[in-house]
Amino acid sequence: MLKPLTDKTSLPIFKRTLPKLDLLHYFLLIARSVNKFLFCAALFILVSTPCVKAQDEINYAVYANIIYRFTKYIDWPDDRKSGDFVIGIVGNSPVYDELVSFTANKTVGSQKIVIKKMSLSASSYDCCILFLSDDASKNLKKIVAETENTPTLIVSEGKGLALKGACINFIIADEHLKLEINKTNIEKRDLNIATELLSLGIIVRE
Amino acid sequence: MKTLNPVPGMIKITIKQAFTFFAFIAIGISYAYGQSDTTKLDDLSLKDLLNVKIVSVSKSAESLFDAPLSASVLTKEEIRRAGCTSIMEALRLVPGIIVREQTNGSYDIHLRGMDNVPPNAAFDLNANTTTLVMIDNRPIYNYLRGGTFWETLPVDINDVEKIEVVRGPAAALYGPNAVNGVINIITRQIKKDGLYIVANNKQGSLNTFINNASVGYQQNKWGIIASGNYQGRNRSQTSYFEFNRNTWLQQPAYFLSYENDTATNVKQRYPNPGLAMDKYAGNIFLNYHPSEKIKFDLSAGIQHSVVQKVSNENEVTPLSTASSISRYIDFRANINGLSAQFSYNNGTQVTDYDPGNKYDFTTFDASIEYNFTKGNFSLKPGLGYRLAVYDDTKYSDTLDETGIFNTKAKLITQTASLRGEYKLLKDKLRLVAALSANEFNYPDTTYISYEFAATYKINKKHLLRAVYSTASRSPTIFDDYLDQTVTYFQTGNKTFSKLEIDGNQNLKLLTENMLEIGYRGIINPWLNIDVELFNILGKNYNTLVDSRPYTELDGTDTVHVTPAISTNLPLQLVQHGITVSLSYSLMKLQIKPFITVQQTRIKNYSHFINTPDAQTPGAEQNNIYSAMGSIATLKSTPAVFGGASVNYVFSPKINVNINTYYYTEQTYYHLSNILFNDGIRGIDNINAKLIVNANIEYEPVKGLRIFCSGKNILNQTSREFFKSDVIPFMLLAGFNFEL
Repeated sequence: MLKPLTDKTSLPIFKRTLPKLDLLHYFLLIARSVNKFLFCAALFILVSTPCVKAQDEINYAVYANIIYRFTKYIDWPDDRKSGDFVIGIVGNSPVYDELVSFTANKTVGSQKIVIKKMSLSASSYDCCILFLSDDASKNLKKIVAETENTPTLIVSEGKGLALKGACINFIIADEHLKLEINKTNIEKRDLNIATELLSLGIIVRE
Repeated sequence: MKTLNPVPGMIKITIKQAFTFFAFIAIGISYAYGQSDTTKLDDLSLKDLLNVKIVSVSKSAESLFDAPLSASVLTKEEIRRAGCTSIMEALRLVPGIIVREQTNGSYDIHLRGMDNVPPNAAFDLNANTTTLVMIDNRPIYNYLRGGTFWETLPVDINDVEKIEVVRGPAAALYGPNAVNGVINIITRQIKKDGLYIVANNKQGSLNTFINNASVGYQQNKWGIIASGNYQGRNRSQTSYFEFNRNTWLQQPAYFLSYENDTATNVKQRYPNPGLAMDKYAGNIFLNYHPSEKIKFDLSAGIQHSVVQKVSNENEVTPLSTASSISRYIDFRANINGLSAQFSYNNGTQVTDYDPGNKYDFTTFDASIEYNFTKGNFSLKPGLGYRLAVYDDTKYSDTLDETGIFNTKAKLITQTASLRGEYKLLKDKLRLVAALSANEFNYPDTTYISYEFAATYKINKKHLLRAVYSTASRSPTIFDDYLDQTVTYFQTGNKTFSKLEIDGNQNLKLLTENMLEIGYRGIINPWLNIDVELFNILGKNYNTLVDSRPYTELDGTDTVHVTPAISTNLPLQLVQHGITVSLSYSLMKLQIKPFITVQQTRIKNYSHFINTPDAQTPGAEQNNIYSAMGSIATLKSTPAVFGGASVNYVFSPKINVNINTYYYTEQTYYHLSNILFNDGIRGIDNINAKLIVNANIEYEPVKGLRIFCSGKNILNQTSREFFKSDVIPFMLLAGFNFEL
């Protein structure tokens, strides 16, 4: 601070007094503040459009990457080892865009990867992997029934779906992706799953 | 097209040229590498992929690409790999921050500059008061004169998970004092059950010893970490610069003040001329997280520091010895949509080892917010309360006014805020609006800070954004309560003359408005670009101004008082510029260059520090208003600054990092410039400087890294701040251990 370097002689009795904040004064300050706040809040609501919740941002690139990795840990029957390797997406999910982007120059063996959006009302689901997004998961049972006994790996996202017919189910726990794996559902579809993948997931038994 | 402040010997750069240059680089690089869509994720094993954190929540952990404000995040890995010796030094890795080293380990830190305002003022009035520094959202704001005493941070690198930096006025979101931006230090938490150990050791040139460690344990929902840190550093020189004789003096027997008075208490002021920093601190972090939506965190700590740095005006030399002992406790609770934080901090600080510069302080902060959500509609109202009590009556003679403010001073801030978001056009357009009303006890006025931001996501790889915001600083003890008698002498029979300096509780608060537009792009999977164009207006700066004299009666004595009072100046700052950051990451190589090109101008600035009715000769013509309409370049803020970090993983065990920092020439104008008024004293030209650091890490066993780092390996020894120490090459070595 700017400090005097010279000695002072006699100094006057001159002391600034501070306004004291008693409880009542303090309460009034808060009340005035709250009033102003309410005014500002009203102004804010008037000038701004309605607000939405702070939404979770999910990194769907990780979903896409893992779905692609399934092709290395699942063995499809020979009749699915020729032609295009189709990954179907049911529902409106960013996973579609991520998969299209991520698999653009990738193959499964010599098979070209094709990402297809599929409708809930489709007559058939001719694909190797079928991903049901969260918004389509209520139709899981229907789709499981329609693809029964076909070598289609049903992948879903949502709590408990591995017990409702999905082969592999994504769940989010502690901000990380976890895999629920229903080995029975996989084997029913004439698919073989590598032990390594099993070891990384949560095995679900009915 | 306007040309940005040209520096002699440099090429003139326009904003348009800068844009074109970086666009060219970005496009060039993207075409040069016609790689497939192989992302960093592709390099991970499936097991590692499942360990990738995939969720980030808006505001609390914003996805950087989608963030509506201009923001950067520096991770603990980046800090470690760069070989940074402190949190302050690590800020050189962040775009938009000007970091100048004053003495070994002490830094002057400004977001985008706008420093040394007003020019020709005392150091006390030139601190960076506009950047809000926080630890886990707890404001670390020193209310004495505003700003941050960086050496008093209780945490060190071992405690840091990441550092988030928001550039631009953001008080509506972060509370008062986030006038020019926010630096939020997020501390580490244990990620998995069991024992947790982090230890860092560094030593090297200038007797620099840096040791810090954390030990913790987590079991299910409970976690505890105890951490401690120590830094001991010597200066690069033992001499001091004296304003009066405009020379460096080696441990002098006395200093001469501006008025040629002799200050003989040199040994008292500078008990250890070679010391730059001696600090230690300890912390406890306790957390209980019963679920993802319910979290309780408690932290507490104590710190002690002694440094020699430039921050206090003592009339003889830039450096002062400053010390601090303080303690804090911070409690945070998040219960579903409710978040609350209460923190308490108190201690004793000395700004200069000269009598009268000591005070006790206590600050209390409370904030509570609730996130109302109904369908697509949500609002986040919040209330905040801040109390700062500074008391120097224990250490000063309040009658003789021998302290700084000679009273128990209180600053109270009450805040009400509201924040909201709206997404439309299939989430492509995101609107963010935030508003906060801050009521202070002095001045008795409510200040409104607001922020409107919008992002438009053209697609997943391209995002445009715009921000308009305004933010005000809270008052400071210095502004409101300064109360000193500088001289007092007898002029005749029962007549006296007194020169005093006083605060002013009716000051208008420093306020900034900003308009910013930005673009973020994922040019390809390994190259990201972030561009921000900003225009900032700052007003309501203040300084001590000689004002109208008056006469007061003291008993039978008559005292003629010449006051210098904290007064708002008509000056305004106008800054516009561009910051461009690139992030290139492919396999083992990561390059992160960034640059800011800006022009900072000062309007209506008069170098006279008196009002028209002051006793100063010619005051009616020459006063703080006598340069209305003028405009000039603010030479203390560099026109170009930036840096780059280049990291290469040679093998799983060897990592090499080279990082650089650069700024162009500046000129600092100190109070002594107008006091001596000879065009020499009080002016310091700071040369342009390129600082290059290198760090090599070797990990012989998992978790243990041995490293050797060179700071300023080009040995560019020029000083970085007004008449402060030379900053030489430093060699450091040590280890880092993490379990």
